[in-house]
Amino acid sequence: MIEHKIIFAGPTGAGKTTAIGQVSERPPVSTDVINSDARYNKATTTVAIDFGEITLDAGEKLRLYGVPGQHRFSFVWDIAARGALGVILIADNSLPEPMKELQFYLDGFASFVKSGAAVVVVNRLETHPSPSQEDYVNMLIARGTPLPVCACDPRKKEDVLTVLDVLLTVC
Amino acid sequence: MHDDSMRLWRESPVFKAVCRAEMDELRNSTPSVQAGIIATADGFDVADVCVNDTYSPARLSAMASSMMALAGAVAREVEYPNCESLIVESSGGKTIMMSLPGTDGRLVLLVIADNSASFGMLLMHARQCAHRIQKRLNLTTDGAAES
Repeated sequence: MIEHKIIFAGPTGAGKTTAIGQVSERPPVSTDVINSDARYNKATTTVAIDFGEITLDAGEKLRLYGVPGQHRFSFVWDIAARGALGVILIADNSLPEPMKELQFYLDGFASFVKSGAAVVVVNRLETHPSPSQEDYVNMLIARGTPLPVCACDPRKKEDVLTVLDVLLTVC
Repeated sequence: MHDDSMRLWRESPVFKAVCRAEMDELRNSTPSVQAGIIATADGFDVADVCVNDTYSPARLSAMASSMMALAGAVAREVEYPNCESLIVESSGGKTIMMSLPGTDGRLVLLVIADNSASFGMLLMHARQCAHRIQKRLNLTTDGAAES
């Protein structure tokens, strides 16, 4: 059986845990704890990894790893990224400067981003239409790392499956 | 939506002083202890005493919270009710992480020690330190909230 490891990364509150929870066949392994950081309006936050599994129609098995968004947990990114096929970078368009925020994760997963083994996903585009999907595409071209950009609601299973499909196509 | 108790502890000079005093006591009773750090469950450092100033309490706090969360996930996976402590054994020494009793997993005590003391003594003294902090935390919780 072919197995692939996929990483979900992006800012705190972007929807990484939600996305994995939507598609995982079994209840995901969760390392969410109570959040004490007033900058984020959320009750819990991931501090180690989320882990979910999904088997595709072709028999491929995907192991889905979500990593914490906060910069202080960047050491987890390197550990989780070992042996991964590709990375899904979720941008949160409700942030004041979502594209600027995304740069940190583009740099944090630079080897995947440079080799094209990554997809940029824009969440909350319906409620926060700017920057547009095209703005993201142009920003990625301008920085010399063109990547597919998808609009996605991580609460919708079909959306997340589509993104996984796009990532497997480019990897 | 965020939880303020951990932030209040983090920002309370009284609470930090109590933690440092008790971790100093741990170091005095157990010279193998190289560092003691109190971290929040979401990875912020609250207080530390470090013999070795190359240690970064901020980085170690983030790591301790990740480790405790992962260990808790392992415990849940095998249907054990909780994870109280976690031990990293190495040729260089031992690292113990434990939930501070009475904080509902909101605070973690990290103890770093070399191999010069017996592990049993180290673990016992670390637990006693955690319980002393708990006792004084109950006494100072209101003060911490006001600070």
